[in-house]
This record gives sequence, structure tokens and C-alpha cells, in this order.
Amino acid sequence: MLLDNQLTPGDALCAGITLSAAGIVEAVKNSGLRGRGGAGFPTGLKWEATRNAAGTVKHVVCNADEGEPGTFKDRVLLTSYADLVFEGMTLAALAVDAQRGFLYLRGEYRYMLETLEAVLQRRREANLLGKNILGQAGFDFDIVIHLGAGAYICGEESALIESLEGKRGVPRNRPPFPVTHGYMQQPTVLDNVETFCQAALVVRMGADNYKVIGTSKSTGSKLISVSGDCPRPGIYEYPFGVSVRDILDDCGAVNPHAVQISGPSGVCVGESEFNRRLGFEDLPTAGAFMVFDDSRDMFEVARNYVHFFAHESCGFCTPCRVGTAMLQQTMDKIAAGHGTRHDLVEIENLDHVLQTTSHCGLGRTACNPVLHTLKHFRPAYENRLKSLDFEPAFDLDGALARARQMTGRDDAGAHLKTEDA
Amino acid sequence: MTISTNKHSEYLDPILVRRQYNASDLLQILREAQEHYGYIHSDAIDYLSQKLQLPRAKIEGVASFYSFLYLQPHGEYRVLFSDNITDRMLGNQALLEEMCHQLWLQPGKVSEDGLVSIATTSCTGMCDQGPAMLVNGRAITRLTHQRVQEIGHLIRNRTPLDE
Ligand SMILES: Cc1cc2nc3c(=O)[nH]c(=O)nc-3n(C[C@H](O)[C@H](O)[C@H](O)COP(=O)(O)O)c2cc1C
Ligand code: SF4
Repeated sequence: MLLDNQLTPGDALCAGITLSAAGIVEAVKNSGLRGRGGAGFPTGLKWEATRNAAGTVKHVVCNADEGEPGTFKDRVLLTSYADLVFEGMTLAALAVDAQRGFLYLRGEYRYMLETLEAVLQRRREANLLGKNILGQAGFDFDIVIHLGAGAYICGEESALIESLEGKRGVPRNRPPFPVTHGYMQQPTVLDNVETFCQAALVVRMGADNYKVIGTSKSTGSKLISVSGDCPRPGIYEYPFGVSVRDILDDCGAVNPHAVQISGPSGVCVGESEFNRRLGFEDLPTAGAFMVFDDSRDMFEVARNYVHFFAHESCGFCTPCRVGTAMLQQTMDKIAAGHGTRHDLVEIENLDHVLQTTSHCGLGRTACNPVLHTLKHFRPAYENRLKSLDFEPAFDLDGALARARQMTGRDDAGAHLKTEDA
Repeated sequence: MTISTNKHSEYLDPILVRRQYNASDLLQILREAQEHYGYIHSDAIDYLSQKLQLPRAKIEGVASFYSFLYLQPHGEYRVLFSDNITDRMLGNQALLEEMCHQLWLQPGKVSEDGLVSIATTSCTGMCDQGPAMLVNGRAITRLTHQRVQEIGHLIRNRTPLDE
């Protein structure tokens, strides 16, 4: 559907002009399209709210921050379907009467900049951007590209807007939401790269034809970024409702025992759950699908994700800043063979604190990798635990190691006495 | 190495003009400014502070938030290994160690001659073609021991990245 679309630049836009602004909003609403960036908010409602918001200066922002580990579908869309992305943004502009668009491209994708600029330039020359687009008096819209600079948190919509305004990418208090108070506190439509592509398809094929694809609460198709232990990694497109098992079969996975759906902040699905289905009814996903075969140590997988969150916490709120660092320390302590049962309980307590006190989704999901892998792969943790009930998180002998290194001493007298020494 | 403020105006002025001296484009200005030396020179911040009428501390505050902006020299070649679990499963750690060994430096540090730095970064979105790295922003995928050796060699000979 999306990957084999036959649209040429301007097709969806012509259909949109025929529908008129209000008609586009209606079509997107009726299609049941939901955001592809993870949260799954109904796109039509967002566009309608921005359209109805007070103010004459409005914006359209495309979230191409694609920072969730294991996700790379936006990279493929921007490489091979850039026209469709920009077309979707232009339709949104027509729908809400916005004059200015931004593509917020993650710094890691800097190498795409020149090519994307060239696509924009071609669209200007074809009168698909600029003044009086396709001869429609007063339909003025243009898009600029802003680059991120290596901060995962800038994928969160309000942090992204802060970053667009040239500031540190710290999430804002919400509400108010970007639909009324976005870029420069003006009404802003902000959607994921794939959402804009899907919206263009909706307008071109009509809401009724679109919503028969997928399931009743998750209409249309979804791009899945498949990676990990499988012979055929890459981008796959499925109607929503596809089972985990079907995707594993298609990518040729041999002896898979877990799949991480939607990245570290998503869900770890074990073998007993491979019949579960992708969609907002069961397993919502931004698209990451990382496969682990039965040779993989799921504790190490969780530890990698925990390091990711600790590294990417923006530091704005104390529970998240300190909590993600503590979680990392605890996982490292377990990895070093110093963990106890008590540590596992502490992780659950920490999760509760982060769930209730974090300012944004990063903090709220930071414990998920551990809790989910514990559920399916508890032995991977327990095999590493000491039989002791409690051990201080501070490893004194470990701390002394640096002193030993500095003084060049490694004799028995320079070590703490331990049981097996 | 001292660079006069005057010298910074040479590459900063065109950026500022293109960005219309817009303080709300600060992140974009910093990013473009960095493309000149590979880091943002302290005198460049003074110059921007003056031209954009922003306190120096504000500019440094923004720059320090983003991991791809550097306020200190970070090597002519900045190598970042993608460190997603999928890269790890494909052996990125051994490749990183090997490259550090080959170029005589420690991860996260700049080589003594200022030529190169090697570090890890969060997933670069190349999990279908890992292990992956970014060298001065260019993506290099499907790394093997041999490819890493070759890249190390090209860096040591200061080969321009377009190869
Ligand atoms: C920590 C964090 C990171 C996020 N990263 C991204 C991202 O990289 N890309 C994205 O489209 N949405 C990301 N989101 C979701 C956005 O906040 C937002 O919901 C989405 O861009 C809205 O677009 P949609 O309705 O089209 O999905 C992130 C959210 C959080 C909390
Ligand atoms: S929860 Fe974490 S990432 Fe989110 S605002 Fe707070 S510190 Fe930043």
C-alpha cells in the first residue's frame, strides 16, 4: 500500500484541493487514521483542533527524529518516498491553513540533508510548494529542514518544538498541547513521518477505501522495522492486526525466543505470546521489531536499553535523572554478580516512583525493559544473583581497583578480604 | 591554536545572514558553525553572543544539551559507533576496541595528535545493516574487521571522507 504506492508528486494534493480544507479534515477523521509515532492519537482530531484553533499564523511540523532504538522506517520513507512525506505535510497545511512547515530531521540523518533539500527545490519549481500552490490563490506554504543534534528526548513533541525554537530540548508542561500552543506558541500540527504519508494515501484513495484495511480500531497499514536475529532484516508493511508470528515467519527468524516491539520503551514479547497482534487494541507500536533467538541473553538486552535511557534522560526532573542512573547501576551490579533479590524488588519500587512522578514518557517507560524481561526470562536474572539477601550498591573493592591501578599495586594487601580470596 | 574573532566572522557571517540573525535558529546556527572546525570555538560563541544579542551562558547551555555539539576539539575525524543492542549482537564492541587499538586512543578521548576521536552513540537507525557507525556524520554500515581496519587506515592518512 504505502511501499508500493503509484502516486506521482501532486496527485494527493490535487485530490485534496478537490476535497477542500474541511473535506480533508473530514476524510482523515473518517479514515480512522491514528498517529504512527507511537501514541496513536487520531490524526483527524489533531488536524481539526489545529484548524479550529484561534490565530492566523499556523505551522505544520514533521517529526523525523526517529530516535527509538530499532526503528528505521522514517529513514527509508525519507530516502525513497520524500515526495509523499512533503505531500502529506502540504495537505495538512491546506487543511489547517498553515503557512510554514518544518521537517525536524535527527542529527544522525544529516547525510540526507542535501538530497531532501533538492526534493523541496523540485517541488517549489513544480509549484507544489511556495505561493499559490497549484494555482490556488492564497494557498501559500513552504517547508524548511531543521536538524537535531543527538538528543533522543527531542522526539517527544513538546521537546521537539523547544528544539525547533533553538532551545534545549526539554519537554514542556502539557496541556496546552501543540494544536493550540506549538511552535512560537502558535497552533501547530505535529505528526510522525509515516503519519503524513498515510494521510496522503487517505486523501488520494478516500476514507472508505482506507478504513477497510487493518482492524476497526487500527485502520490502514503499518511499516515495521525488522532487525536482530533473522536472515531478512528490513522494512515490512502489514495491515494492522498482523501477528508477531507472521512477521517472524516472513523475516525467516530461526528459534526466536523474544521480540522487542516498539523499542526499549515498548513491550518485550516472549514465545508464548507470539500469537499477539500489532495494533492499538493489543500491541501498539511505532514500528521497531527486534528479534532475539534462543542463544541471546535477555538480561543483557535489558541492560543495554537501561543504559540507553540513563544516557538519554534530559535531566530536567530529578526522579528520572537519578532513577535512570540508579537503574543502570543496579543492572551493572547484577551483571557483575553482586545483585540480590532485594535489587529486583527495588526496581519495582523505582518503576512506581518513575511512573507517578516523571514529567514525560521517557521516565515513565524507563523500567519497562527490566520488568518485561523479568516476566519472561526471570532465570536470566536469578542465575546472576548472589544467594545473599542484601548487598550494598557501592562496591568498595571495585572502587579500590582504581586506586590499585594508580598506585600499581595488586598484591593481596591491596584487596579487601572476601570469602573466596 | 588561537583564532581571532575576525577569522570567525568569515564563516559565521554568511550563516548569520542566511539565518537572518534569528535567535530562534540558534541550534541550527551552532550546528552549521560547528561544520567549520568540527567543534564550536570559544571565540565563535563570543561572536555569536554579540551578533544574536544572547548571553554567552545561554548559548553554552544550548550547546551542552546536544551530544553532537562540541565545545572542545573533538578530532578532525569523529567516529561514533552505533550502540543499539542489535549492533552489539553483531560485534560492535570488538570492532570499537580494535579501532581504538589501531589508532592508539581510548574510547571517548581525542587522539594526542588531535586527529581522531572514537566513541559510542545511541542507535543510528541502521539496525538492518549493522554494525554501523557515523564518521563526521556519514553513515557507514555492515562493518567488519577488515572494513574497520581500512577506515582506520584512511583516517590515519587523512583521506577526505568522500574516498
Ligand atoms: C521520549 C519520547 C520520544 C519520542 N520520539 C519520537 C520520535 O522519534 N518520532 C516520533 O514520531 N514520535 C516520537 N515520540 C512521540 C511524539 O511525542 C508524538 O506523539 C508524535 O510525534 C506525534 O505524531 P503522530 O501522532 O503522527 O504519531 C516520542 C515520545 C516520547 C515520550
Ligand atoms: S522524565 Fe526524564 S526525559 Fe522526561 S523530562 Fe523528566 S528528566 Fe527529562
